[in-house]
Amino acid sequence: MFADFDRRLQGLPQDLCAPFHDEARQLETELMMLYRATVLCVRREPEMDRVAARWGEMVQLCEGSLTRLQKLSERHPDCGADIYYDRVLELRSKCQRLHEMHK
Amino acid sequence: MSTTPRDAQIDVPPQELIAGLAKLYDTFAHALDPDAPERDEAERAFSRELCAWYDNSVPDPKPSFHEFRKGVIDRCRRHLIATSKFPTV
Repeated sequence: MFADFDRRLQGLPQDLCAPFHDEARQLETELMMLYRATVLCVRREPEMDRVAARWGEMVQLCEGSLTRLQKLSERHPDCGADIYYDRVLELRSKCQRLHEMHK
Repeated sequence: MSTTPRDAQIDVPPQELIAGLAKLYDTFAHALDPDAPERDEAERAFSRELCAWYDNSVPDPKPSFHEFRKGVIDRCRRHLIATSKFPTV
């Protein structure tokens, strides 16, 4: 998930905002797909420890996304990265609570 | 028959209480849209009911709230699986 993003980040034009938004939106979309996959995976999982582990992995993915969104924002400080960062931060909080309550 | 201290504290919960909590749990823990307002409302309602149960109905010596909550969630998950709430994938 992150390897392609990191590669594309290097090639983003510094003076344009639209490509930045495209990348941030794609990162968020991929993260959401992984979140939904996690939900479908844990729904029938009988072992609580495994459920906790899946949510823990989701927390790690959110943190990786937050790091990259922050890098994106540093490269494009006027392009409004906060909205994407805030949404991923909220998702991370929810996944962290789910991780905590199942471990 | 209960086999763990955690289960002993919640070994005879009213079925309707578990069913209600299981529905709330299913709504927030398995929400495909994490931004849906009903997802957050369900999590808040679940926490409120759990706290009320823990404070008012769990006898001393109480388990930790973390262990109590985990035990309730385990029962909710078993209820959901037993009542076939989860579709086969």
